[in-house]
Amino acid sequence: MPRFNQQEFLSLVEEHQGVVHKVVNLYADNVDDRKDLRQEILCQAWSAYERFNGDSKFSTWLYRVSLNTALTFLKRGKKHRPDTEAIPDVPEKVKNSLDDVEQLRWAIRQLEMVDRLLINLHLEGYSNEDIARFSGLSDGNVRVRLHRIKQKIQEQFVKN
Amino acid sequence: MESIDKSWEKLAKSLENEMHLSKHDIIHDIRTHSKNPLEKIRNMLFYRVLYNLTAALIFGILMLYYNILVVQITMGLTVLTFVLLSILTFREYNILRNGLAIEGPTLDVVNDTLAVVRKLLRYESVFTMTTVPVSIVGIFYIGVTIHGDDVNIFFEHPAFPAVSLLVLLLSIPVGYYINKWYNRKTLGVYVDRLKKIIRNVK
Repeated sequence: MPRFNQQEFLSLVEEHQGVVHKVVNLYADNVDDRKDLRQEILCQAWSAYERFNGDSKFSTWLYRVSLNTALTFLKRGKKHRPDTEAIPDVPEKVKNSLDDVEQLRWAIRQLEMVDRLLINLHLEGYSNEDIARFSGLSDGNVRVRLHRIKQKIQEQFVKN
Repeated sequence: MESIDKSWEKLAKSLENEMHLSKHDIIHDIRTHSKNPLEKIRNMLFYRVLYNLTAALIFGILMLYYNILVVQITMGLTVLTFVLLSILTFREYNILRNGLAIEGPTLDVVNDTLAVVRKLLRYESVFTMTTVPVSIVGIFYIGVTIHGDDVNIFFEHPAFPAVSLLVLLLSIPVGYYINKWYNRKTLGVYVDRLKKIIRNVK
């Protein structure tokens, strides 16, 4: 049995569950995968909460757990989607039916996993230094990569 | 970039509110059996400990049963190997039971995960090349005993120790390649993906 206050953990997760939903929806492809990833994130958070010492906000900690779980989680038999160097055009049929929000969602989901993590944190308002600490990349690398990712997404928006 | 930021605000809101989990739902999710590959590895290690201890027990009984010095020495060494493997396996299992620090920097988390998987693959190779060949010979001894024959008779034949040794030696490379193929099949995709993430982060 965990040595922490379970009710406190449940209340915090209930309050900040939006973080989990955001990551799950950006990393998993279908309803089943989303459910599995969500369960996995909550399992991991439960196991790791004992080590949460309040150095950062709970939402930031949960973001870390969620994103790292999304990256290291792979369902048995699931093939990894190939990385995409450039974001492919939105198919014509889909393009007409998507608003800006859906186009952004689509564009982010086309990104390679680490890039998805970087843009996700950036759009959430984390500083480049925070993202570097979070990911293990250098500050300079984060800056350069974010610039490139934003350009890719921007091009996609202009195109459509 | 303003349009992207604004779109993100709306997107984030819609993603956050796509569903709502009650405390009851969260408890249900936590209690669900993890599908993480590391969890499977952990379970596998646990079964390996049980297998090694059972094998040690069986070989221990065989060692006491046969009154042939060569067999007793071989069985004694086998028991020792199984016990040693049990201890090493249990140590690995215990490390995984405490879980990796998933809240750490992404690069560290992915590196640690890959290190655990690689360690397991190495362990599996050792396991296949040591315990499996010995188990095959052991099963033969048990089969002979169950059949009611006396192993001593086999040992009177000079070819028997040589055949036993040949079976042992042949099953080592065969086991190695089967193990390599099996590891590739079960964890290959996962290892490739972790390596790719590390390459991307670097």
